[in-house]
Amino acid sequence: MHSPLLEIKNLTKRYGDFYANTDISFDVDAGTIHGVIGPNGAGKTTLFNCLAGTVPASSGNIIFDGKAIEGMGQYERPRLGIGRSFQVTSLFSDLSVEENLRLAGQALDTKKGFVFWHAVHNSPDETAQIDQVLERITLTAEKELLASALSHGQQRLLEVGMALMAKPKILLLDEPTSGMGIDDVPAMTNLLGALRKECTILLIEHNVGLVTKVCDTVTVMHGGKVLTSGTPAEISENEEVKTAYLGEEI
Amino acid sequence: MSANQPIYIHLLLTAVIAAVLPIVLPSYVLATEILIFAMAAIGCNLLLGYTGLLSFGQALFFGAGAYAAGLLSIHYNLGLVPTILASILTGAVLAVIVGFFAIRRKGIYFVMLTLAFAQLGYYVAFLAEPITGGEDGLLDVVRPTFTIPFVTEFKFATDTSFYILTSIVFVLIFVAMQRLVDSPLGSVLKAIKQNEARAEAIGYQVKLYKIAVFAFSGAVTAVAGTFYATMLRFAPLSNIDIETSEVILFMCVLGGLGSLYGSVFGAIIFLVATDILADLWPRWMLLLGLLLIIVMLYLPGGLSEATQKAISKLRGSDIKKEGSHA
Repeated sequence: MHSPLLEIKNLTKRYGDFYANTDISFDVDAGTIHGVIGPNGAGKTTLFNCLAGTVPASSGNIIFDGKAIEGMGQYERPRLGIGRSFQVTSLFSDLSVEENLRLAGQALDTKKGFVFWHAVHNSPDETAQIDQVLERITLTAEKELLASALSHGQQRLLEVGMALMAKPKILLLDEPTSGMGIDDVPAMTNLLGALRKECTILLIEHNVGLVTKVCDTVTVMHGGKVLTSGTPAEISENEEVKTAYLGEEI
Repeated sequence: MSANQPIYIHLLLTAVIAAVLPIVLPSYVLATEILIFAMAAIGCNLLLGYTGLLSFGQALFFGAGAYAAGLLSIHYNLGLVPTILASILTGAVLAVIVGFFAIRRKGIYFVMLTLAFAQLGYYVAFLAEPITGGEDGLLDVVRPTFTIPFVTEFKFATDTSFYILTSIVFVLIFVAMQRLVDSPLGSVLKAIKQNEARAEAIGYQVKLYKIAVFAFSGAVTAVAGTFYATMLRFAPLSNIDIETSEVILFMCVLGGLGSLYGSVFGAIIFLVATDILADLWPRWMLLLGLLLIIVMLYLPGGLSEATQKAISKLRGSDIKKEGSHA
């Protein structure tokens, strides 16, 4: 059971004199949902960006599936099996839902995107994969719609769907429920619950309710450092965590 | 119009455009010029309309194509196909160099870099007088010939024959570029235009794609330059100046971004208006400026989209009328 898919070792990210992440170390076990929580400014998104390759880490190692990836570019990581979503919805808003997914799938083959001599054409396998993901994210009926025409909750689901097109081994989700209405959250919770059979998930989340509900392990960050890791039950009992969230007691 | 129509539709439509132009226009020369600048506007549209890259340096590729063809025809007289291939190569290589540096910056800095490269090219052409003719331009450019061994040789000496040649190349380039924008590569370019960060995040190396589209844009624009120089039998220095970049950009925006037919339309409107207005009023440029302002404020899809909308509206009201009759 204890086989880390992702190992973060002494990861530090510095912006000038400011340490956004200091000496972060923890493992994400394969087949689990691992939550990262922490108050605003705890360095969660910076950590996430280092893992996804949006910004390079200043020092430390990121080992994914036995390979050191900290030096790899962002565009290389999806092909290793690292899918990500964005905290602020980031879609191709003037393209259809289907085209958003198709582009995400096409990206896995480095050469395919440079084909300029024939029109876009999906193989039966590709069509099947798109349909399967559409079903997963419950947007089958909306596939012809422009991404901008979706509700906010649906856009959040499409975010996750695009990451799924890459058949990821690990899914990095940056606040998947951010800005979602209360009514939309169950759709996301159900999706995450269904996905745990297929891939490992690293989840950054503000919504503590969601984290305690779906996560196997929770890492709490505070002030750019790891405060503690444990099961949701352990975390909710932890005094240090309460202090971090409620403010320093005098 | 461009939503992945089969290739023969585009072949047919562009062939019709090329066939009709000389019939409705006063001269073959004007029609030739339109097709040449349509190609240049298509090159610009690949960058701006499909990828979101505003290049103010298209004249560099246009001028390079003109000089490449001019010099090759004067010194080596290689014939038509090698001349065009050489021009494609020159344009693509130059564009890759410009692209390689310019895409390192975004927004206004990117635009300024493309402009700076083009100005650099202008002064190189200006100073290299022994080669390019400097301010006087490159004189005595020879029209390359097309030989079918033991059968015949086409010299394209008349306006009509040169127009036919230009239209064949125009149709081929249009269809190839329409294919490109409908291809997987085209889909990535559109994705980059809409959301560059996301395109990179899902696994596209955006820089490489931008350099690739520069190469295509440079190649197409250089072919346009080649035909312009061989049409005039002269490669003026003004081919490579900022005004040429502006004219190409003007046609591209006027016609409509993200539609290759729009670029053809833009070239037609600009050159026909120039031809008619220049005779009537020496300040005719003012009117074109006004037209561009109107397009940018009220018709962001350009004239092609506005026409399309108008047509579909008319059709819509027709259908309604028919409906009410029944």
